[in-house]
Amino acid sequence: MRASRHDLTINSRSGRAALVFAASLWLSLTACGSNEDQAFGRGYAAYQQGDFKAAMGIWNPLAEAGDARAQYNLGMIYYEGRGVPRDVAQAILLWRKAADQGHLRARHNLALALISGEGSQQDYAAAIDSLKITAKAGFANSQYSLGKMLLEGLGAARDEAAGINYISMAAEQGFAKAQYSLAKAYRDGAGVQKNEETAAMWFRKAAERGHAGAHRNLAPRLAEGKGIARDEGAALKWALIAASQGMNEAAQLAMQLRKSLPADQIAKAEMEASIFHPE
Amino acid sequence: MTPLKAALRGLCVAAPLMMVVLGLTAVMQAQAQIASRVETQQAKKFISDLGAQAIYVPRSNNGSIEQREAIFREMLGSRFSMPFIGRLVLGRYWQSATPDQQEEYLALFSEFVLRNYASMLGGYSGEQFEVLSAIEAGKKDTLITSRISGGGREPIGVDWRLRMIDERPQIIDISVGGVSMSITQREEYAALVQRYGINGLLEALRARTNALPAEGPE
Repeated sequence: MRASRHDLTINSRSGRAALVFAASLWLSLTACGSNEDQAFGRGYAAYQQGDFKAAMGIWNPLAEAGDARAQYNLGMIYYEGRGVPRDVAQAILLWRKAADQGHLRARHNLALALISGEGSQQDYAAAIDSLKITAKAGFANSQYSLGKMLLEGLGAARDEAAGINYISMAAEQGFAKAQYSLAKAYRDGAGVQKNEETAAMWFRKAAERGHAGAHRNLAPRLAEGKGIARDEGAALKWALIAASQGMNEAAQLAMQLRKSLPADQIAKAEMEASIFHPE
Repeated sequence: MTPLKAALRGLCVAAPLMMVVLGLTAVMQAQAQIASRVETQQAKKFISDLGAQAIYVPRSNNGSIEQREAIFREMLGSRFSMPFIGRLVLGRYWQSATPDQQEEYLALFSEFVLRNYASMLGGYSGEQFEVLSAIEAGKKDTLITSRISGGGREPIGVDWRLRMIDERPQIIDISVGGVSMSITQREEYAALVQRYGINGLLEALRARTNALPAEGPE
């Protein structure tokens, strides 16, 4: 028993020591992590202010120490050529390091580099494998890219149902390009049952998000009442927005609508077009 | 009067008139050409204003760098003739694309070019933009040379080719460090179309415009 008590005392002492050691270790690790976080944040602030040299100076040692976020952001600096000559191969190297640690943004961008073939050998199949992971994690950009690849049979057998499914997932998240693609799919009956009402709904959603092609498509639909309630005032608004983006056919539609609409509706449409901001 | 004589007489009356009409047409065409070129002073101001925006907008304190660059891209886009450049770059493959492919290509091409050049030109803390010269180039264009310096990078020369399209000056090419956008991309796109078809080119452009931005602290 004594021995046990002794052991217990020793154990208790060693337990306390272990606890103190663990606490100090945790504190030091937390402090260390916090320093890294702070440094990473300072780098991001410099990046946001356009001081890319300072951002690189801060992120370089973090990246070398294995910080996936710093590796990813440094990759972006090289990819966009901010303060350094554009170097996609270097960006890929950094993204690969980050992706190997489970960094999903890095995995997404890496997949895109494999699709475009910039700075690396084009590899559609490897890109699709990566996009499946990031799409599953909920990245709308990945869902859209993957959906398009499957719709067109690039890097995998053509699979319209799966392609539309991924594009729908991105569209539901508010990704304008996916909403526009889905609208066209319903308009043309490509991979889905043709449905003018659903097409018009997605054109409207994409238009509200600022998609230029959707502005051009929505205006005549509203003017004709195709898949959507006829509303010439709203048609003029979207035609004016599309015309301001250099779309000549929209400018012609706006001109026709001006002839048929009363002055107050024209003024309202012009005002709404002038203050339009994408969602 | 025989029909031949009548025709000849008609010709004699009409010939001087034709000469006058042709002469007038030539003068009008010459005037149209002169009027259609962007004057050098106007061209200098056009690029100088754009340069001021390239410095100011991405560097202002409103919103994130991505949001500020999106505003700058819009400004830059309104000064580029994307349909002209896009078609030029795609060359003979334009005709082999479907209307849907053409539409998507122009949208993606425009987004890619603007993303590329907006991040290349603006957003550097402490950078300066100066217009160096403007000269007439060929029958229709005006070439402006400019330089961006400061901002912690080597000075870079940026040349702009302007043309009057739809009665307003529009950029139809840009060269950074002597490398022309149109020429470089024309070669690259042709190689992509030859290998993967128009859909392969569109996929490459989608990939280049769909990258996620830099990550901020949590």
